[in-house]
Amino acid sequence: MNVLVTGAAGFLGRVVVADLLASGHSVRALVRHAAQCDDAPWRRSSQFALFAVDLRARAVALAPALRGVDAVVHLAASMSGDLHDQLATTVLGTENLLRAMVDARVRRLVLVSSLAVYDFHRMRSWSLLSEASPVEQPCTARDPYVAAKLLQERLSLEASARGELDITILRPGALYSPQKPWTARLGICPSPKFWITIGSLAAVPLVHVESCARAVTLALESSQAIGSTMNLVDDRPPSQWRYARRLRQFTQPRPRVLPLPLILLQVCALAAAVINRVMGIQLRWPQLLRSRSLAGRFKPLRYSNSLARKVLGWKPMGSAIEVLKTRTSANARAPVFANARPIEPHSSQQEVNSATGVLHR
Amino acid sequence: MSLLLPWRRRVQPRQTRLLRAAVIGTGRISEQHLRALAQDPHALTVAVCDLSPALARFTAERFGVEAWFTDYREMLRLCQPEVVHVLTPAQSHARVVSDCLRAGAHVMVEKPAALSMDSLQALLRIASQCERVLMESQNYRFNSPMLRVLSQLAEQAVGEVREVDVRLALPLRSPGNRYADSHLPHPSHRLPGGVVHEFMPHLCSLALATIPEDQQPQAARAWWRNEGGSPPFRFDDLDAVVLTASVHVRLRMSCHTWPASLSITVRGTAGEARAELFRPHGYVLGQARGGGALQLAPVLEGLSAAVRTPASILSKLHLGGYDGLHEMLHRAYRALASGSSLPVTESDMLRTRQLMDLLLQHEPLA
Repeated sequence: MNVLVTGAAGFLGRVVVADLLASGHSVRALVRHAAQCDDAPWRRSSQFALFAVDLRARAVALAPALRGVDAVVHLAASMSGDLHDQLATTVLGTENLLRAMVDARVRRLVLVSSLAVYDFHRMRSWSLLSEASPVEQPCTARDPYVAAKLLQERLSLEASARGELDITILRPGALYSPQKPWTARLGICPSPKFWITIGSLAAVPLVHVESCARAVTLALESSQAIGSTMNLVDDRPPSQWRYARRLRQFTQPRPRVLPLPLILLQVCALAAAVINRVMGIQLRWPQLLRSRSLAGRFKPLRYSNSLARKVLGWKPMGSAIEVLKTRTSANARAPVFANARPIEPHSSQQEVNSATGVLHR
Repeated sequence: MSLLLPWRRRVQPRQTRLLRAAVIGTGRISEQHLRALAQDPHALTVAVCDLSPALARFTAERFGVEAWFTDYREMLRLCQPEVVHVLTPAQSHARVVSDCLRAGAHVMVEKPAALSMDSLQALLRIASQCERVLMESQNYRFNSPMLRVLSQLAEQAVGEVREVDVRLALPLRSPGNRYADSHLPHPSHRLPGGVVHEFMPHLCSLALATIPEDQQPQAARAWWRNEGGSPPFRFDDLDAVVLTASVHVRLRMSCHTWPASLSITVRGTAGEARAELFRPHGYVLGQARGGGALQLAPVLEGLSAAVRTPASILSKLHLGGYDGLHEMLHRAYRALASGSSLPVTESDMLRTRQLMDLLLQHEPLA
């Protein structure tokens, strides 16, 4: 299968490309700048081609990248920034991609959304979160990331309802790897040497980045997955306390940890809400002083991956606690929130023409 | 409570006669325009327009606006708004603003209203011919600390103005900033003065608001530089000096300092007035306050800051430094409803444009 992967230079994108190539597919990777993939191990694969295209540009030239493509894996999205940054990247990018797919008559789309889109605030503590759980309404109720992800899903579902696309939506939990084990669901990480952990007993809905990539490949290959939305979380996710403790154990130098009880922040958030109510205005408090944001990150729930297991035959990797043990002495010193290599926008890499998206092998 | 929450005073019962408003462009600044319109007793937002259907629809849903469009001409034809807010990139203003005026709508346009004096005069002529009004957003003139400064200047609290210093620091070169994005350069980089050009109207309009209209610039010098050196920035630093008959004006913008700040200091023959608009705070120190015992000045300054701080924090949390834009639009709609003069006049716009052109004439430093 010829597969176009957007956001191929990201944390998940790199692993998805590797998994697709290992499964015998040909991959076209869409990135903003070719240099983002310079250090990727699959960079010289004969089954791989790179396109430097910015999906946000209204007149984006996607036709060359989509020519002959059987399916698209859409990963490109903004992970930070305010609402307008996220709309400009995640929503405009998706809108431009879907339009180009329809023009190129490419029907198959696997959209990677997020487990964050669910309405954690409305759910009862310790209840089971599944694909049938409610999503945030209105989409802007919690934070810009959730709003953009829900709008992205809506655009795709509407295209599907018009009969233009065959889509599968995957909603992974918090992605991690031994090299990037930190997740915002543990708390705040002001520096590698100092963590503030929030909550203790709630399960962290982790999913190993390689497990997630496997699910993407399986979704592409499965006709049964068309029209489905599936959550991706590991089996038996660890509690915040246990995961944070084990992560600290395998991190050098050992960070200092300040544990904060969730109830303390919930009380502060309640006070902030009361101030807004009394004053009759919407003061924009920091996210950790908003009840919905706290629930979205720290509320104790149970998680199910049974639909993905059933439809895709997906088997997630072993427990995160075991995976952390592979944080060897070498990468134990890597920052716990290490991400993909920093981008040098004006690198000497000139192999791909960013204006026209010329193909390079 | 009303001292702490000046914006609450504006909330009035809606009147029966509402001006039908529409917004073209749903970028970041549109959020503030739409919030102000939603609170205004004289306005009813009837349509929004953006090239992106997804963003136009989302914005309409978010602010409870009935109609959304991707073609502004179709919006003008079908909705016939009485006021249109043009919030598109500056390069499109001449076309969009003139179309809106000819369609019979008053226009509120984001700065800079036009790219040259000729273009601005042409738009004002069209407005006059169509018996409509055109107003450029000069929002920071209406931030509460700036209004206090202007009020004190009007009462001669600092005597005759001798020096005006406006400084804008925006860390636009920071990684992740939308202006520093080389993949999809911001439209302002294509302006003659680059990204600095987009913010010049703020510097010029704030300075001019403190100077009597009869004080015409007699000499000017501007240094344009690109200290970061790399594209997409053409310039990231402006240092300008303007002399009038009796006032010395310094205008300064930097894209590589932190934190973001917009401050104005006015020094007169009898005192000093200062305002910081991004972290709302302002004070006036007249001779009478320090009296003969000048040692009291720092104490008074500290007390002034302490008194203002709670209101500043709340204002920042509520409107994020955009309280001036809300105030300006409320005044504009009140003026349109009553037929009185707008808060930003033709003269204000022409003076601002004249000063901008004067500074843009200077060659960049190598």
